[in-house]
Amino acid sequence: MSLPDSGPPSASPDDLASEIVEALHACVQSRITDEKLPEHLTRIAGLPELYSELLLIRKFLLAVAGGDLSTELKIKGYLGGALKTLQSHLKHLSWQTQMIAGGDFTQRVDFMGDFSIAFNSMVERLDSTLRSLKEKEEELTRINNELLHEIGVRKKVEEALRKSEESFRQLAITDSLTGIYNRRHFFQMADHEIKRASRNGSSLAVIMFDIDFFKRVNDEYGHASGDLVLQKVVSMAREEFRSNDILARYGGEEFVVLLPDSDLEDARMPAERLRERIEGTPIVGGKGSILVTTSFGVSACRPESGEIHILGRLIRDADQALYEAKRSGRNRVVLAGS
Amino acid sequence: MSDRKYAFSWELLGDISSGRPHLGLTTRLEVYRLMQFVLRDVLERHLGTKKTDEIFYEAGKLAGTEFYKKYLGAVTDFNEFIKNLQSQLREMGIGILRVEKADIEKGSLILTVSEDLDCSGLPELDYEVCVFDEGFISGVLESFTGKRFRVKEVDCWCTGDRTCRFSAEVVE
Repeated sequence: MSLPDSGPPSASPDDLASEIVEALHACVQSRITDEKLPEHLTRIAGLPELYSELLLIRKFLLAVAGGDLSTELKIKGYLGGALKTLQSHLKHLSWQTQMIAGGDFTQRVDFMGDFSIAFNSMVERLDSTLRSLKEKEEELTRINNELLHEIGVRKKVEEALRKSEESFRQLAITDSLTGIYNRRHFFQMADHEIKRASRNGSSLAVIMFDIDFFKRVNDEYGHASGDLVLQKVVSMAREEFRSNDILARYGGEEFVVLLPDSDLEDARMPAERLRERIEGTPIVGGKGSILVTTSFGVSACRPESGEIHILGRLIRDADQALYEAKRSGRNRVVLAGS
Repeated sequence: MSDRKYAFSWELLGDISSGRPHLGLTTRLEVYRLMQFVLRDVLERHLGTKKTDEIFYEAGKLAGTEFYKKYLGAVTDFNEFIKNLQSQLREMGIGILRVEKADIEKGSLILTVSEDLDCSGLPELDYEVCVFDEGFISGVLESFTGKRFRVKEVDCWCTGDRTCRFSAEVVE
């Protein structure tokens, strides 16, 4: 700022007025480097206060122009009031913007002329766009939920179908009375085991057994009791044989067991245990306690490599041994070839 | 005090609609100010300036508390509370409330009120006169937060609508 450092105390009123104007003009127009009013001007009544207020307004405006709304303007009067109004509006606008950012789209500006119109229009547009996006999101969520529901329904149907198929498969391979494999499935399973034994060079055994005088049970106790006897015999057989032995109902009261990795002696032991257990276990039915005995025929062989059609021979040999067991008095285990 | 004559209740204000079928719910603002300023005058003469201001602050606080109960209750969100307060004050012609800063967690607010019922249009003075407003704001804030607030008019300016700036700080 270019201010006279020292003016003549006896300067003319025009010169003094000119200096005052120059000092105030500099305060408004120039970049001030020295904020002090020249000494001889400080004696003019009211001028230091006016100059000081102008400097405060300068500082305030420069701060606001630089984005600092926190500067406090400590002057009263209309100009100071107008500037404080502007500051207050800008601060309130900042707060309103924060509210909008937090999702309050009801905020409206009504104190900044054209800016208010543009700002409010922007908020309405933002609100409308977000509302539309929300509606679309809700629609997508709804569709997604419907799809998930549909998938759930289909999964349930598929599960029911799978259970149904499993049930049919079980019915196709098992004997409905005793729950063990039926004859047809036994042959499929046995075929697989024979091929494995043929590859590995391991031995196989077959046990054929049936319930002695079963017809008498049916005749004396009824078919329901006969069915119960069959079920109990199978239940005991399941406990005596290994889990990898293949137990099946061969027909009527006749059963067959294929024992992998077993020779005649290996097969004889569980057959003997089962025979003794059945003999010693009364079966309690509706018409009293029933004691039955069983006869067993056992065969075994070790298939040569590539020899896969031996099941017929094993069954035939076991069947002949069973026949021999029957013939020689029943309730016994007979080994083929003995 | 069981023998009080003027314990406040909204019923004391009566049924204005049926009581003023021709003149309606509003009156000229100068009548309101007439009552307030003559009351200040008489109270000041009897009790002094300080006590008069204290009475006005306390009366404002009671007004804010009752106003909150009648018009602003049942809101828990602070921003919603401020919106409702702004809306009610504007709708009832009490003033235009704006927020410069609001940190409710710290209990620190800067508010302005323009076109104020009590003071807009008054000449700018060397001292603040809105003690009733101070009390009113503290009553409303205390009712909402459950914490005590000290409200002070820190600035006012006469730009036509005479805006008053209030700071509100929670009292620990």
